Amino acid sequence: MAAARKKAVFWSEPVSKVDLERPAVVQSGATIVDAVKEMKFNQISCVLVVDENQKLVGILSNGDLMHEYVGSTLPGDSPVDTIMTKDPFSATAALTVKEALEIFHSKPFRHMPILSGDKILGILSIRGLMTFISQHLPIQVLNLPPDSSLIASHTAGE
Amino acid sequence: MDGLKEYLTRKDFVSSSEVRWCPGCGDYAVLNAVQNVLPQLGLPKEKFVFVSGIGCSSRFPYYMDTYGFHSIHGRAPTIATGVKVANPELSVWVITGDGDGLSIGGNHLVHALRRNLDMNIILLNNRIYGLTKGQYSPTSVKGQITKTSPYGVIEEPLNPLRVALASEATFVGRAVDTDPKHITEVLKAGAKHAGTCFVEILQSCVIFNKKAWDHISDRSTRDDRLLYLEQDKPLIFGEKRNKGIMLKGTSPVVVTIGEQGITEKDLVVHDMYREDTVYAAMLTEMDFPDFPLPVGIYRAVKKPVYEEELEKQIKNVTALKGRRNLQALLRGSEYWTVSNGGQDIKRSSGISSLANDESQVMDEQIHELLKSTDPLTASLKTKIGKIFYDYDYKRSKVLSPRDSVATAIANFKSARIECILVGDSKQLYGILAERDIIQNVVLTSIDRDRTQISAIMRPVYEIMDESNSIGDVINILSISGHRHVPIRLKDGGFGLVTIRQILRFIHDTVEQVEKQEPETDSK
Repeated sequence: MAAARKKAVFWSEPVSKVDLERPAVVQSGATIVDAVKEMKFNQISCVLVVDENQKLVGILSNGDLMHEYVGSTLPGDSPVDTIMTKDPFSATAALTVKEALEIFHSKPFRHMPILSGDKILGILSIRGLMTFISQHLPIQVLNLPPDSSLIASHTAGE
Repeated sequence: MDGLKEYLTRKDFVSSSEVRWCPGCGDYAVLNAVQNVLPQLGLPKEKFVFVSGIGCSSRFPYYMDTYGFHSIHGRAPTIATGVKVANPELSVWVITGDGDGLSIGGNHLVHALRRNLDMNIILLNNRIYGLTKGQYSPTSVKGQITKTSPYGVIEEPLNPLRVALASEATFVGRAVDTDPKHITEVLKAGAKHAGTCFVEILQSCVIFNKKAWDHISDRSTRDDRLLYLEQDKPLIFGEKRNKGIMLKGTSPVVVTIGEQGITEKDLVVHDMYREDTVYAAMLTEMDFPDFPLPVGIYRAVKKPVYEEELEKQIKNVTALKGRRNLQALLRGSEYWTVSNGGQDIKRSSGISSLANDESQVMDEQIHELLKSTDPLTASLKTKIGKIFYDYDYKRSKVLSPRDSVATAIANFKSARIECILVGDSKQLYGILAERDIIQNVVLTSIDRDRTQISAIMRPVYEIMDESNSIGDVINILSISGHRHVPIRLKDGGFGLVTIRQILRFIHDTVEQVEKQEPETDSK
């Protein structure tokens, strides 16, 4: 069955096949305002924080900002390090789509850095993962009218 | 039939209708020319049909004592196509104008030309909408002042002949209203051409575009500014017949015969029978003042004629498959009988006459794909109402657009949500994501207590219904690039479906499937 074969293949694909998002990156010690500017510029909802060796040391998301910064007494020029999530959850490019699905299912975050050693390859986002899955189901999802009421219910002359 | 020639005269084609064209209108020249040509074609009067669209020129059929059809704006070529296909014996003439033919009916003209029916299309080009009192048309020149272009036309005009060549017209000609004898010659040749004859006639609108073609058609300068095309003759023009067109590389240039050793032999020789359109296209590029404007027959090539090909096809298919029955086709596969004021509807399935039809086989293949037995793809047909209530629905928050940004922040913090709907139970005004708050609060110094949510929310891309499928939602999320889509709830109000809910649903579906079929997996 073609559908079954397709299913087996795409679940075990590595996440490197998924379109990873280009990360927004700031140096450890950068201010919170600079980090938000970087996020806005890159149109992404999180920013990675790296040390002087470009090694990932933290991640700052809109959620962190909402809960740790907005409404707090912290000034905008505080270093990102004070509110970022340290040693964030990351994965290698060998992570499979199935495993990524498990991770997003059980963890609260929406973005996951994908690393190769200390090198940052990109960000796997919850949206990127969904788009990848939907691209493997084009006939059922993408190549249809955006409203199921418009799909012909039976063949002509059936 | 030959005998008819002697009986029919121009007068036989003059109708008794009062002519409503303005005195001095170029349309009269065309009418006279056509009435001169028809008796020479050797056809009985009842075989002529004139079809027109809308416009001054489209009043033409009234003034011809023949069958005619003053039809729909721009659609004359299409109606004429039907007339000709239904009765190929007829001599069909389409009368159209620059607006009717190139704007309103541009598409119809193009397709009539490419089909190459044996009919004649006359396009009267006065570069203006005359009947509607002077708006600029697709052939109005740049800078032309009209009622709809008081400061001058800023569009590039269409060249009707180039449109015709691009549409694979097999006969392309041009004539000027001030030279009726020439119009007659061109039209006669066109009428005898097997295939669609397209002739543009340059004429002025005495009221709204008096000087449309004065620069070339004025008798005093005409010889120097018009180039009459004659088959197998060099391109010579000028009052003294001493100017000509020569090729320099691939470009035409104007030369004087006798100067710099140029003789007639160096000039381009007219060949309207050339198969390719390169030469004809070159002629259409030539225009006053750099060149004389060519008039006459640009192109006349032989190609299969539509109605003959169609007839052949019908004959061949009938020989192969026998005569088909329209009623059998209409009632063959499926029909309904509605009776008792719509109360009783009976569906009937007859033996399909299209049983071997390829399109049906294709349809079946598509539906086979849609009926996928793969549990995950099948699950995509689940209604979103279901996942909305199964996964985290309590976290959908709706705030009023008048609520303050501070209120929104408090909601984000307490509910740990990533997105808030803005609206009331009846209407949705927008959507507010964490990102909108962060960017506004951190990067600008808005007053959180006094700024309303409506100032920073974003518009709603799409609202779905509970009855939409998960596949639909994934489709919208993929297209929009958003992470959430609002849904309209059955019992009023709105909710939010997020990508995370979708992924959780997919995850659970996959898990369930794997639990159910561990044996097949191990095999």
